[in-house]
Amino acid sequence: MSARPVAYGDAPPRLAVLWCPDWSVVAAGASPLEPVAVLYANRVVARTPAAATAGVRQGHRRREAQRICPSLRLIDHDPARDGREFEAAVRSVAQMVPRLETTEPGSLTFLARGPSRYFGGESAMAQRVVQLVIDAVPNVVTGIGIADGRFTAGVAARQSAGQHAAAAVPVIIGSGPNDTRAFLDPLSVSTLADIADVSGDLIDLFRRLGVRRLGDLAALPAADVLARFGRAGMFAHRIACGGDDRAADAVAPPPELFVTQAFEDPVHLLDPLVFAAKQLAQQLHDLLVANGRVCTRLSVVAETEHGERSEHLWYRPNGLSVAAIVERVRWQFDGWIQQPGGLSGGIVLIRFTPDEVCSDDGSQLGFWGGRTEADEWAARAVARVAGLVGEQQVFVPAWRGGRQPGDAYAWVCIDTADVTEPTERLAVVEAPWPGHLPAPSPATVMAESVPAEVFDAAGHVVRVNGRGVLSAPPHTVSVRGRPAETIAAWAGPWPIDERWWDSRQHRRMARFQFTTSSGEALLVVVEQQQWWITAVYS
Amino acid sequence: MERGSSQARHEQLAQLVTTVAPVTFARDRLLPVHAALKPLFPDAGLTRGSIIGCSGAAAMSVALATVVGASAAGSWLAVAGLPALGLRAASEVGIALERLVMVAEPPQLGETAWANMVAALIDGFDLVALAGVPQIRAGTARRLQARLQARGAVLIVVGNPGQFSCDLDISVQHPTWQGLGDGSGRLARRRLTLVASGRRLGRERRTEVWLPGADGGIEPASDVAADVVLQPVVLQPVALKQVG
Repeated sequence: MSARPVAYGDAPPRLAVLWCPDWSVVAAGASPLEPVAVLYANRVVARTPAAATAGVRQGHRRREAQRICPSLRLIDHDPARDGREFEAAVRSVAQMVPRLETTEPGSLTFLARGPSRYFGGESAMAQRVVQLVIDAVPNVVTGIGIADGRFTAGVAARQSAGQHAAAAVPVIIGSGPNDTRAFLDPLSVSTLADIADVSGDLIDLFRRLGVRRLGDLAALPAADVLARFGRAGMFAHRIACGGDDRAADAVAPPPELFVTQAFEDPVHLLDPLVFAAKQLAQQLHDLLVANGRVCTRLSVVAETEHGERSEHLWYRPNGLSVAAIVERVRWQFDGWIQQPGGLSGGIVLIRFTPDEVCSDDGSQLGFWGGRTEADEWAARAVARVAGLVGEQQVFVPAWRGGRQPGDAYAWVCIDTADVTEPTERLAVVEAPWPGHLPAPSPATVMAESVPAEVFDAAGHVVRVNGRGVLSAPPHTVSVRGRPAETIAAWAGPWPIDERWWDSRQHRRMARFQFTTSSGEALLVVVEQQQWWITAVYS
Repeated sequence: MERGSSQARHEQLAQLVTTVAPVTFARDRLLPVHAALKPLFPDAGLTRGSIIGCSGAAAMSVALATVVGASAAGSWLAVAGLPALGLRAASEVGIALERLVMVAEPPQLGETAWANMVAALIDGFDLVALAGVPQIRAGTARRLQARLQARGAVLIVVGNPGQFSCDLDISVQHPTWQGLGDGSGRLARRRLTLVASGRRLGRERRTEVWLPGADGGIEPASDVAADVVLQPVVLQPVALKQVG
């Protein structure tokens, strides 16, 4: 690859960052007056202004948030919904500004110089952009910051969004290193973790060493920072000084490097498009990997038969993997296809052009081989099967934890999980689950429990009272549609009272194990005086 | 001196044999099985390209037990038509969950679509477990079987195999649970007699195992071991004697 280095020099480009805080609740269509929060991994990631007023903060656990605000409505995190809804904002801003770049749904970045000259100055341009977003998306809160470099502009955008004004006032930092330093120096070092993804451990270390403000960090000699904190520390130091946050070896790839696919028959549905995108992403990935490179900014273009066009830049500082590309393409196309009014025709062309690549530092694989050939084969087969039966039908296991046999692991759909990178989804959190049944676990866990009837020796239905006392020892069990079987041995009841703090999910039941005369072992629960067979030790 | 050179020649010859050998015997193409199940398989492993049927009372556990060895050794397992598979039991028995993929068959999947799906699984996975095999034509089953042999995967059919002809059928006799009393105790472990029969097996092969064992895994069950477990421990009084 004959790459020409970009003349970034030391001066970072003038960038505008548009930032929508709590985008996930806006995407979920929540009214700002209702207390709503979006949860991911049991932590609040976004909340409405009403919930914020009540005191709910990002990072709160579910129970903590509910204690602070009992009327809080909780919504599950759905990255696909966030990405799809954000397309509306991107489309409206794209009328005014070319080459929009998205890092994650809720954040837009673009070069400020051109548009601000055209629209009469940075402030006027910023206000117009904010107005476009507010018109396009109901209930959105947004802020805009213009400064040198992505990090400084990001901080400015967050300050602008944090003003809680009806229409956000743009925060514009003057050009040049002096203004940038004057703006950044008083900020806390934790800003680095919030915006630039510097690891929390490093921030903690800075704090303990007495480096509390970005100014303190910037005042240290660069060589000493590199010697003491390595590459991560060097990166933190560079952006704290208002320097460029791109990798030092980032280059613009040669213009002939792109992958494209034209469809003879226009495609109208999302799934075949995403399937084609997956193959293209793999092609592009292979091309780049052959040169030891990874794409950090990618341009994704799609065209319909009537010339409608969707173009979008996606940025990810750590590099876009195949799964990351496919996820972003899905967001972009889903929002585009489902826009009000829809498209006039099918899609005939998609093209991926890497806009910025840098050398692939990669993540260290396991000592013994990491990915094997079998993994590659399986990943390909999964993609193919997903194309045949639909992505919503292919699942991989993920750890959840819980007391019921079906709770410990759950099946998650592969469009939200990475098949060949199971570390995260299968990380077993060793929490005690008092009252869970010890091994061995049942090999068959019914998706829906089967109603059953349990009788005592006299032929009466066995009942369990509120204190867990049986009316009589169980004698026969009869499953729907099958003749009654004699119970050879049994144990229980083991009462369980789960989620008593939540009226909708509260469950109170007693569990039993039965073996029948035919040698079958069953896990049976009684809930609200109704017997259910939940699992079979088959 | 002469002895040493003849030994070297033997080694050379042995190397030559491996390089010019024209055929690969089926038993060389094996996937590992758990030690406790080895007596069931004529080659002490899963022959690539074969179909194994699991039926009877404990079919699900037996199917999991059959693939444990290969799954732990790095093979991927795909399951289709088994939405009720207990993942906790699978992990206890030793299945590598990081190499497990489940396909939920959409309802009203036609014969061709179903066969395409199974073919795609066979192409990509060493181990494919199916349940609820639909009514398919014998020709479709034969083509899938040919693909299985070409690709070298192993197909495990839980329940009725339909049109597939199994190379090996594993059934269960005398399942006996231990640990559960009359209102006391809990399910602790189950003793099974596994019986393998098949076209190429001269006579039935059988073995006894604890499946699941006390920790949910597989343990071989020899009668001696069972006696040891079941015998109550009697403490003999020890006569003390005065020393020093």
